[in-house]
Amino acid sequence: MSVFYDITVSHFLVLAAALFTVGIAGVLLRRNALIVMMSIELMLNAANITVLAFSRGFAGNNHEAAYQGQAFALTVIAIAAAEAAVGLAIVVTVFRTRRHSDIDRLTMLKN
Amino acid sequence: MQKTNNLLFLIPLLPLAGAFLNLFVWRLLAPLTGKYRQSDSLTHTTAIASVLGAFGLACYLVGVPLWKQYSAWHALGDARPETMGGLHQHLWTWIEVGSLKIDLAFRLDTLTAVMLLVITGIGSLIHIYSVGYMHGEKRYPAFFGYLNLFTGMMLILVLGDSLPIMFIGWEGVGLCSYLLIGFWFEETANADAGRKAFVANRVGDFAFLLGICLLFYATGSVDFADLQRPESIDALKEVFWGGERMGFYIALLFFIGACGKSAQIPLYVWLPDAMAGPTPVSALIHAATMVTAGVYMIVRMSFLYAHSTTAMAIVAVVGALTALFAAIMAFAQTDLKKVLAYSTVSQLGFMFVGVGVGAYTAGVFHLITHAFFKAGLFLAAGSVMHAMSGSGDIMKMGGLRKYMPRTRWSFLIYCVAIAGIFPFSGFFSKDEILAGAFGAGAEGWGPVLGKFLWATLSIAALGTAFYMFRLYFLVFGGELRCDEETKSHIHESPYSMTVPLMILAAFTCVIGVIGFPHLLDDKKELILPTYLHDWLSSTVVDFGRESLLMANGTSSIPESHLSNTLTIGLMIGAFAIGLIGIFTAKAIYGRGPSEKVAAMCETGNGKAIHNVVLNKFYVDELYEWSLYRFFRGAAKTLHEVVDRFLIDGLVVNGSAWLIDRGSRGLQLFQNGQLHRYLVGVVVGGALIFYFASSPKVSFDYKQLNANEVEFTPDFSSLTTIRGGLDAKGATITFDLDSDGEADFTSEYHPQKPMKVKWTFGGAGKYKVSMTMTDAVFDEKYSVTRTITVKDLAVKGGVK
Amino acid sequence: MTGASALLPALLVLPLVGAILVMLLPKEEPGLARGVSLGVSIATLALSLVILGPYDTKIASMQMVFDKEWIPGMGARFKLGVDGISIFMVLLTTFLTPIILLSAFKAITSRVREFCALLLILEVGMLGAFLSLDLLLFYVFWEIMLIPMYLLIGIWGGQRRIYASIKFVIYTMAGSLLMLVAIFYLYAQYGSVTGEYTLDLTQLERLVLPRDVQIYCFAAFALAFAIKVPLFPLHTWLPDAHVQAPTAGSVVLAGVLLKFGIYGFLRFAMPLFPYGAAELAPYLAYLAAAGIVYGAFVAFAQSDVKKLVAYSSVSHLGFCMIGIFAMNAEGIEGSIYAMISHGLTTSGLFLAIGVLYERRHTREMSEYGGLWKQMPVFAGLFLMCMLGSVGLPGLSGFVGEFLTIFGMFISGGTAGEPTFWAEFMPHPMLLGAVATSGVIFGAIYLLYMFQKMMFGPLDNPKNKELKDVSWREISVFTPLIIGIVVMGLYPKPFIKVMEPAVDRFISRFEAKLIEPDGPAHLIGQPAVASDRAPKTAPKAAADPHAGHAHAEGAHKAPPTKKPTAEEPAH
Repeated sequence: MSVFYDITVSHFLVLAAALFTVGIAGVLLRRNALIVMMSIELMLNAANITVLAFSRGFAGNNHEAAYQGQAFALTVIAIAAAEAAVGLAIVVTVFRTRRHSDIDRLTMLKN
Repeated sequence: MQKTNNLLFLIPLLPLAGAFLNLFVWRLLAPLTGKYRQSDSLTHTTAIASVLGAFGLACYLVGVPLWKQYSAWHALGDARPETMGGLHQHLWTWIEVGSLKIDLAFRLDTLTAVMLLVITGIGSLIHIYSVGYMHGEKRYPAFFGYLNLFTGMMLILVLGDSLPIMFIGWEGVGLCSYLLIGFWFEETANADAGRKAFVANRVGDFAFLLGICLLFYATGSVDFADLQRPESIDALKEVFWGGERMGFYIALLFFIGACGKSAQIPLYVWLPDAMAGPTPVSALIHAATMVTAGVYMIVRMSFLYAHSTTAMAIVAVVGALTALFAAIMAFAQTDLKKVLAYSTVSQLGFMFVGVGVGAYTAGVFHLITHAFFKAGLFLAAGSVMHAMSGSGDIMKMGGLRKYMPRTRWSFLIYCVAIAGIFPFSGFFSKDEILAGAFGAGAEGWGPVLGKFLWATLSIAALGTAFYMFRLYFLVFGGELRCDEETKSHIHESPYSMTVPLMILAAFTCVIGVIGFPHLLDDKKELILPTYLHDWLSSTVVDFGRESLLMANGTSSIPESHLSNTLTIGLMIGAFAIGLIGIFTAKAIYGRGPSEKVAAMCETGNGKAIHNVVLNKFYVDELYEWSLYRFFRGAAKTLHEVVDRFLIDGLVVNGSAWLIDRGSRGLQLFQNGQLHRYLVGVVVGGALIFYFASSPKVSFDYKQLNANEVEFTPDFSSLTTIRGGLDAKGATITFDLDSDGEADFTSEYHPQKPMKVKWTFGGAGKYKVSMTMTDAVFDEKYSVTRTITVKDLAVKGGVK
Repeated sequence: MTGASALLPALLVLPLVGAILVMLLPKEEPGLARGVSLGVSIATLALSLVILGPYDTKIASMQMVFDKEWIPGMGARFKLGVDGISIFMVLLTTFLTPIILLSAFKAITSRVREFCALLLILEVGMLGAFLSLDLLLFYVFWEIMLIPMYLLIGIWGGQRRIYASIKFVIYTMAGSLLMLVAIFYLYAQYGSVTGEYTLDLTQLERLVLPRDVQIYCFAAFALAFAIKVPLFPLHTWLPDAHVQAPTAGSVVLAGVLLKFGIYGFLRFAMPLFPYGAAELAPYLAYLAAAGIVYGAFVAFAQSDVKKLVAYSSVSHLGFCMIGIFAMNAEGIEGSIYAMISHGLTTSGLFLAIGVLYERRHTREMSEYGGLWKQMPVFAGLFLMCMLGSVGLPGLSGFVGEFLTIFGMFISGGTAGEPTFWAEFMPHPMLLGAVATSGVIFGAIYLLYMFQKMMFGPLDNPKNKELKDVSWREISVFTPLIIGIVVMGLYPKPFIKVMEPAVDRFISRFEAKLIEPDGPAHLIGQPAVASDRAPKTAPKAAADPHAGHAHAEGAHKAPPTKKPTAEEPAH
């Protein structure tokens, strides 16, 4: 089990970076709005992992600092939930009016 | 010796009030009497009364208070002061700003007195004459209003005690001249002539204004009395620019001003055109008074001209050339008033030679006599044209002696006077100028200049006698050459017109007595009295004495006192010249237009010469092409090219165009595709992250002392991008002797600036490196700089 | 503050209330709107004359100061005051507004209510900008003026009114934004030097900025004001705006708005940044001289009378610019005088053109000719305004132009005594001579215009039906012409009022100009190289040389071999 004791903050950061990259790739490359939203969730969770990793790794005996990091993570989860709710509602509305949710075809911001 | 007299202001005020009544008050009151327009008799009574009132007041002031002062001054003999103050009145301070103070003040001295009497005296006669001449004119009140306004402005010009006040009158007469030349403005040519006069005058005024400024720059004053103080005179003698003294430039500027007003080369072109105005206007403004303002001004400023012989030479030469060329141009003219106009230009040239050679009295003398006979000539010409149904073509006249005897006899007297025949007034004044020119000589003039002036003037005088009698014979001699229609209307003019003619003729005969030639007996006493010279000597600078002062004793004084034989010889010569001119004219034109001359003018060289003279040496065309067209063209070009194209087209609308096109370009990014927007966000974020996570550290140094240097770490890039979090708790080390080991270690805190001092071995270059170790990630950032320690002791900059 | 200080805000409130009142009137009765607005503007004129009562002509500094907190968080104050320079501008504004309203009785027939209200609001803006002593307040009023003017041109203008009004607004805005930047820079600098943040002009005037910064800040201010003047080559908005604007708009533009350029230089740009002003003065003076000649030339090329007069404004305002950069009493007072005179004469010319335009609906010179015969009274009025503009001695134009030329000519001092300005202004005589040539050109183009329209044969049949001016129109011109004549014959009282303020301006300018180099500091205070702000704002020191001593020897420590840290963290 010693391998787990060797896991440092850096490992968490690498995982978070990988997740974040997958999320970004999803956001940038996929055209379906639902997939894009899921990718955004991925990115948010990557951020959560980072926050928690720092909180765990550097706070030490400073409980206050540790709780701050965890509180951040909880806030992010709450915001992600709210964002997902609003986002999905928008996607559903768009789909209802347009019969598709392809963001490349949603160009009403043009000009 | 100056005395205050509180009546002076009335002299100009009376005519001005007359103008005000005629132009505004009567016009507004007319409806009250049930008439549409004011009655003519009210108009001319007001006008004449106001000028006569001014004349009477002038006579009184000159005759009683000024005469008293003059007699007292004269009686002092050699002990008398250089100038006599005259009568003075201060009304109010016109402008007072900083060091500039301009008082609205009038001064009546002997020179002004002469002008005053000429203006109001001849002015009154011309006002009376106008009653007959302008009879039936629709804009009768306007005519008399302008005429009164002119008289008032002219009086301000001569009475003004400082240059700016003089300038008020100077411009005011220009305005009246403009309005009166264009009085019959329905003819475009008349309006053009008025504008030409005003613009030519403005060119002169430009120089006049600059002259005032420069004079103030030099002396700090614009007041005539102040300017004559020794300090001011000294300032004028300072060398200003290009080796010439200050006085020269000022004098030159004022002379350009005088050229504009007094129609000298090169600004004379407006005067012949000005004949478009009614004849009384030509008589008053363009013969007797306004055009002589330039001469008056130079005499008034004689203290200035006396200090620049170069400027005086320019005045004299320009005057002589004008006299000659204008006389030649008069030969070919066929319009009665045009001949008289060129004659005026020519005679003004005589006056300028007079003042230019320092014979100020002679210039003023000719001004007076000329005012009488030239005003008379114009009035007589008006009388003739009145009879000829308004036509002034002398080729269609002739034989008028039978129809208009009073006009004819007066005209003859004026002609004889202007031709310089003894004992008429013109003889004395012209002779005095010729004598002055002959004897002229001052430092730097050389021996020839005076003789050259004299010769030029003599030819001009010959020409004068010739063209005046050509005019006389063509108008009054021979047989009538007009059509029957005109012939039936020929009549002698009414007495309101001929009486002024006769009065002027009488004066023309006798006025010469005020200026007899300077003939000295054995005791160096004058044989004949020289009234005008004595009278003016109380005001005008004696050129001889001043130039002596000026030239530090090395000058040759202009010999205004020639020997008696020479004086008499010159007189006989002048007389002979006049006679030759007259008899030549008689021989050629005695029986009407000469066919020989006409034939000569039709062939070969004669034709070419005639054309050149007839077209006035093409000077008008030259002006037309060089100035007017240039101005017009430049105006159009500037407007189209600079204003419309460069500024508005390229810069203003061009920048609007650029923004428009630029915004269209930027629009391409706004295609509404979320993906592209997101790429922007991600790339931008990555860039920020990259720059934020690679901090740069550096340090500054300052040499405090001989070898001591102070170092200051600079974390500005850290503190701005990372908010100072990383730098907090960072460790700073300095390696000051390049041995790879830290010489100084400290913990950094953003709120506490850190300074490190180190003493080096001596002057020279050292490598210094600083390292910062991040407290969190334990990363090291270092920077190495080569610093120079200067040897301050060499410059002695250190205690 | 005295009781009289309430007069100045009242001067702003009165037309503002009037404007609101006019908007509340029924739309169907334009006559009522005209009457009420005229009455309000005359009441404002009366009130501005009342100000002359408590005004003390001997006091050079600001009088009747009204000072209230405005935006306390920023340190902006609602501060108003008059001195010998602004009082004339205020009077000119209140004098011209009733004339403009009266002249527009017949010309404006649509949206009369809005027109009258806008003119009154414009009056508020102009008066506020002339009176304000707080930079932000000034800026606000400065921008307020733009809006009614924009609408005046845009609604009641001619064919290309939209182009002209947008050009006008963008030109002016472009300049004034840079000025706003400079204002805030100044604000921040003052705050960091004194620890006290304010936009009060009298406080900010005490700040001496480093020399190069002064040049930049002055340039920013100068751009805004030069556009307004308008200084060649920034003038091209003016002819368009004039030609497209209705007569009333042209009059208010030429009569008052252009004066803000010169006024801004005198009140803000030059006192705040004297070194910058001194460095840039020759260039601005050259441009002004070029503008005098250029404006005259281009005016001569116009066939549209209104454009001709518009370009003549470029020429005339060039004289004013020359005057203020002469930096002596003659030049500056001449410049103020020329501004007032230009306000009267050019307004008169525009009104005269308006009279003809109302009758014939054309401004082409060739359409007219021989009008003197048909309209002699009008011709007389026109002639007076024209001669005033030409600068005939005895009329107002001459005094101003003469003094500005004269001032520039001796701006380096007279032969014996050079002044401090001599080293900053090269070739003053040349500039003076070039400016003087404007006297000739002015005569050429104005006489040309007058002749084309008034003289010659009356050959256009359309002109034979023209009616001479009515009594209403005569009463529009009469006050202007009385002003032109009185100002020409008896300028002394006007000059006496402006003299103390101008003298104070020059002496303060000179005092601030010779302040030593160094970072920003207050006038009379030492220029200490320290970024630590004193906790309390130092009062202006009586002795300008006090406290120079302790700047030296601050960081001297004995040399040691061992390195030391002055601020050790351990």
